[in-house]
Amino acid sequence: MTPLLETRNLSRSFGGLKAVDGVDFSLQQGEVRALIGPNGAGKTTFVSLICGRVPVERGAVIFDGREITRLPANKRVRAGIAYTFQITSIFANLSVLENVELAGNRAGEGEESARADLERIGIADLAEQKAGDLAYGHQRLVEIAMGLALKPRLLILDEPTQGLSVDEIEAFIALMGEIARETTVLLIEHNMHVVMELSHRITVMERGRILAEGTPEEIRNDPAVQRAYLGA
Amino acid sequence: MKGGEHRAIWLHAALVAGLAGLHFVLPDYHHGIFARVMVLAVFAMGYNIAFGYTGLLSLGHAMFFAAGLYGAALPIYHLDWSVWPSLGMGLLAGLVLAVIVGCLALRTVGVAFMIVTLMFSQVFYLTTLYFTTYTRGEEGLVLPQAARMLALPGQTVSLANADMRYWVAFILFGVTLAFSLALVRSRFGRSLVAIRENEERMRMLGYDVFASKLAAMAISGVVSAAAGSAYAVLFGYAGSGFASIQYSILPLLWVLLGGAATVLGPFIGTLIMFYLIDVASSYTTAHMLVVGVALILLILYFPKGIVGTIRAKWLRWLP
Repeated sequence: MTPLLETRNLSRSFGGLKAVDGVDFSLQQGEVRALIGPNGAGKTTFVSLICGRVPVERGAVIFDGREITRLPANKRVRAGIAYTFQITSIFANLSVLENVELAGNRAGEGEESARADLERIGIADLAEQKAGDLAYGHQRLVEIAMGLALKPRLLILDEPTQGLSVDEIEAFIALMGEIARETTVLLIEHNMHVVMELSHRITVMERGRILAEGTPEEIRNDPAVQRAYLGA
Repeated sequence: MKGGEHRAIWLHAALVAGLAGLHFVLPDYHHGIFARVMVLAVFAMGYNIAFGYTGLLSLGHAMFFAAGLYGAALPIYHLDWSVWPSLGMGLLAGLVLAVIVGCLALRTVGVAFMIVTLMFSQVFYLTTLYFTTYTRGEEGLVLPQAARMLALPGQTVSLANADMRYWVAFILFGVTLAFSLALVRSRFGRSLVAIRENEERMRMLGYDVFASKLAAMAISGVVSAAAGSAYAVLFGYAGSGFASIQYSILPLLWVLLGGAATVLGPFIGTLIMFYLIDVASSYTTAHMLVVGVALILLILYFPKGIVGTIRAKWLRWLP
């Protein structure tokens, strides 16, 4: 089976620093994959290369059997790759509904579809509120709703649970379990509870390279990972 | 929201109706000023599409106004064209120039964008001086009254006639105001505002940000050129002064005074600034000093401009 997403020898350096260094990676359709690793391991740069925010220096990105290495970011989004920002990046002056509509408009969707996305995320009652006035946890949910409004085939979430309360994290896990039934998910996450609950497989990065890859069980028991990351 | 939209349309319709009514009551002197202000307000509205809504701080919009001005005036003066095709040529000149300048200048952002647009505009200005043989430079071209006859179904009217001048300026103003209102309420208009707020986010929502900004520049350039073309045929004069930096700064001031990213702001700003200069210059030759002080007070107390402040404080539904 051809993977939904594949990278070959993907590399990018900033100055002398090899942020991403020859990464071969593949992701199957329908999978939930967590990307973990210490700060500065190159996780955000790696997904930025995939979604086109950062230009690729060497190597290739293949999405759904088609090479997209040189495709501009906005065309990758339309090809089905959605990225939600690590730092919440919503339009504070617009209402929640207008935010989600902006995301959907590009795909030819209107207000109804945006309301359906909000319903799915569980914040339909906030639709008319100004996005900037929402509590932080709700803003994160708007961000995810905007990702969903793009009708992605691959949803990339960059530290979605950062700054959320314990209850909000549990709600997020339940939500993602539901979203993952239709969408392939690539998730950068530091919270190991979320990672273990949600992911089918885990990729561990360190210093721009892949250190290990496997099921949550395998990763938990991998001595190299324990040394580098889990701190055991 | 829906109530606000209706109120907005009524408010703008009321302004247009008021301007129509003023035609019958204004004394000659002010009648003339209003005709001029309406044409210049069209320029300001064009500028506002780039600067106010899309966040493109251009310091070179004089070149688009002047492209329209010369695009219309040169064929009339040298080739004996009639008014309609000359107006079309003015718009075309503005469009072509805006697309070319946009393609190059939009590769930059922020201060670099300001400088690049300023430089292009200076090149345009110096070009009008270089070809003094055809443009008569600062002295300018005076279009004879006989060449300023507008063909309408069943009759031909003279644009040198004050009443006709008012009505043509009024129609151009009304059409541009309605167009601005429709634009900012459209999906495209909303996406321009969103690009101004967060370009990177829009790109990651699948928008072609460059294409949108280029389209905004093209629309802005054409509207500015429409004002320039109308100015040439209505007031019968086209001089290099209109391509100088002063006419790049003026629309910025008009829009800032009235309120950037408001539909009514450009007109209010143009009107007030015009009268401010008019009144000040009757008392002192240092009238620009008065304007400067007014602007400082404006920035201190009304940083969002007049209509912008009204919107922020009282009328949230104003477009």
